[in-house]
Amino acid sequence: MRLESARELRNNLDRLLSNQSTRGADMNPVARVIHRWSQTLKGEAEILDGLALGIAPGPQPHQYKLAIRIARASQRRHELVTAISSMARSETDVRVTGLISAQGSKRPQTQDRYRPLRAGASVGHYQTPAGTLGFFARRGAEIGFVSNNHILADCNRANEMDPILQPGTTDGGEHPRDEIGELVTFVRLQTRGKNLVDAAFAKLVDEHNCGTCDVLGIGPISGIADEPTDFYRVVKSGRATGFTEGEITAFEVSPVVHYLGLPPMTFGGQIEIAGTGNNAFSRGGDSGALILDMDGAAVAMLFACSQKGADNDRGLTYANPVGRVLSALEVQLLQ
Amino acid sequence: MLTPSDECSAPWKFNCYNENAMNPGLAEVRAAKEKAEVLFGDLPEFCGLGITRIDNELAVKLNVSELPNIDLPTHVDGIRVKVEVVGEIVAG
Repeated sequence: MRLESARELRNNLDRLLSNQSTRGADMNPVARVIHRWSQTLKGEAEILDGLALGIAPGPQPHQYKLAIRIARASQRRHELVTAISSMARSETDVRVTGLISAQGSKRPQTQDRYRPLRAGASVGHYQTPAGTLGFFARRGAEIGFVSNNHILADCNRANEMDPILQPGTTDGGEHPRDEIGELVTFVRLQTRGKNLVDAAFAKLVDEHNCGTCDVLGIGPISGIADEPTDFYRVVKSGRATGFTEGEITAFEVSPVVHYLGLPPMTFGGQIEIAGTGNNAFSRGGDSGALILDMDGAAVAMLFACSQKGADNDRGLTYANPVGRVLSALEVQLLQ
Repeated sequence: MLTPSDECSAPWKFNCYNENAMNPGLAEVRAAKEKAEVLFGDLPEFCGLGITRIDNELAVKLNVSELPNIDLPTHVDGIRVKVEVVGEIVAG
C-alpha cells in the first residue's frame, strides 16, 4: 500500500485501540473484536498487551505494509491481530518483539547493533554511557545524525572528530570496531542563564550506513511539528525503554537539570511529557530520542527525566522542541 | 433543556455561561509564569515552571523537588497554579 494509506490505517487503528471505541462495531472488524471482548469483561491490558502498530517497508520501493508488533508468538493467531490484518488486506509485517516497557527485564531491540543505522538505536561518544540516536540530518554537505550533547559530546568535554559508536559503550560498543561517526559540533551547555537545547551533531563515517530515516518501532518521520502550545499524545523509541507512548503535560517549561559531576543547569522553553497507562515515558539511556506526534511529525528531542511526578508517579520526561535543535545545530532533518 | 452553548447563542442575556470567557489566554498565563519565576525561582526546592492545564484551563505549573515548608499560593494574578513534586530532574 502507499505510505499515506498505511499511515492513515495505522492512525485509525491507534485511535480505535487507545479509546477502546466500539462505535461502528457492525462494520469494522477491529471494533467488533473490542466490543465482544468488552462484553465478556476481558480487560484493556489483556487486549493491548504488547501490541504496537507502525509502518514497515513493502516488497517494492515506495510500497509499505502495516507493522504489527506482538509480545508473544501465540498472539499471531489472536483474533485482534487477525482483525487488524484483515483491515490491512493482509499487507502486514507481523513480528514478535517481546514486551517493551520501562520496567521490562528484556533487553529492548534498540540496544542492538544496526547496520544500516537506525534512529532510536543505542549510540554514544566512545568515552561516555550510551544514549539514543535521535534522527538523521544534513549539515551543509555532511550527512550525519543528532543526539544530545551529553551523549555525543560528553557535556562539552569532547573534541571535534571524536569517535561515536553504535551501539554505545553501555551496550558493548567498542572503539574502533563500532565507530560509525565523528563529532562535528555541539551546543555548549551553560551553567549560567538558560540553555535552549542539549544537542550535538556527528557526521557519518560511511554514508552507506544511513539506509532509512525511519524511527525504529515507529516508522517514517512525516515532517516537523510546530512548537507545542497544546497537550497531545506523543510516541518515542529510545535505547532504554524502546517504544513508549505519552502525553504532553506542560510546555514552555524551564526545568533545572542535573548532569553528573556538573552544577545544575536551567533550560528554557522545554516540553514536559508523562507516560500513558502505568508506564514511564522514558528513563536513563533514552536521551536523544526523537519524540513524534501521532501523525509521525517530529516534536522534540528527549534529554532528561524526573524521579517522581505524573499521575502514574512514573516520573516526567523533558525534551527540546525539535525546531530549536535544528536551528541551534544549523542542520536539516532527513526524512 | 438548554446546554451552555444554547444559552450562549443568545449573547444579549446576562450571566451567559461562556467557558472561553472563564479561561485565561496564553498571554495571561505566560505573564503569570514570569511573575511566578520571580516569586518561586529562589526556593531551594525549585525545579522549574511551565504552562499546563487544570480542568481544561491553562494554568502555571510549578515543579519542586519536595514540598517546601512554606504555603504555596494556589493562584498568581488570578491564574491557577499546579504544584507537582517531581524529585530531581536528571539528564538521561
